[in-house]
Amino acid sequence: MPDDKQKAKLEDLDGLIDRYAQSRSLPLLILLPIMVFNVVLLVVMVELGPRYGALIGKRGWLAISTLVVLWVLFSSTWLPFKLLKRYGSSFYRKEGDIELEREKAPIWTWVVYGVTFIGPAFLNEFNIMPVRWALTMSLASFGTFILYLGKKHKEMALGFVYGLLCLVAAAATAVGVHPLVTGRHSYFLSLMVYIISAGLITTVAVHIYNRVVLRKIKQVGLFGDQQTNKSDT
Amino acid sequence: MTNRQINQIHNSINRVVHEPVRLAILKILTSAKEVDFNFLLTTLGVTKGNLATHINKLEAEALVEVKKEFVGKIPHTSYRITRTGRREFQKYWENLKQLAPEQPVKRGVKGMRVA
Repeated sequence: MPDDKQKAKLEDLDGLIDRYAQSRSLPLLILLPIMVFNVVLLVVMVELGPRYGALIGKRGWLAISTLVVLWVLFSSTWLPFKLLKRYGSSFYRKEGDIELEREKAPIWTWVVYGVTFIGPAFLNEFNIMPVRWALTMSLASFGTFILYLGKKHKEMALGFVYGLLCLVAAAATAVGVHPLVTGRHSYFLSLMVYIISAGLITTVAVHIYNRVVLRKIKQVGLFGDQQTNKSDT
Repeated sequence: MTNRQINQIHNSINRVVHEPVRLAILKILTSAKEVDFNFLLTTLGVTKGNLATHINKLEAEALVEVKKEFVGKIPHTSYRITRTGRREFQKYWENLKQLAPEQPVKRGVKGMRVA
């Protein structure tokens, strides 16, 4: 029978492993280049719109714009999860891979997120919504969605910090802090700066936390310091 | 608890689960959907050979399911607990609780457990 000490170690291990698995943040780095690419794509599309719209006709331009928007939605929702699943574990190959039980988010949450995240960009471009409110809405949508996904997908530490930073940025913009980038394309560029800086801060902070938890797991040292009974095997 | 009851619990204990390394493997697997060989090595601090032997034993008793695949050209082995494994582990943990009821945990500085 395991004694009280071993039992306590096993109980500790349970929580530590959960926290360790939930704080593996390095794969988030895969998503940042995609975000930058998308922002550049949207800026180019908006910039070229008036110039080439006349050349290829309204229908042609509408088709291209729809494709770009669909790509942005696809690459900021479904694609990242596929990429994380495929390449995420390569960041931690030495330490090994762990997959937690996950509950899938229903499709309607993706739709609400897509519309509230991308919608303000168009409202701003057509001068219906000022940049400050467009930014607030997109950041609030992003932050809330990340928090929600964090809860559903059990990546609490990561989702919590990232989502919270985006909500703080949204609140700051709402109360009147000037968008980080001014002038033309202020919306897209400010959004990129907010989301990427929050992403980098989260990755580093959560990665440090992850190292601390891993160290604790190793300190628990369940069997590293003792010879197990091989005859029993 | 009477001696007879204690003996009954002792007799019903699954000897495969009872071994400390295997118990820890099952504990890890109950809290995750799937883990790989390297992860178990990192967390348990046992040798590769020792871990493989314990896993084989658990697999032979149908307590864990082994999935072997290639990631690129590198072989990758991952494990998940089976229904039987989960049930046996729960049963063992319940027995353990009955034999050694929860003691109030003494905590020292910074919330560390005091052995």
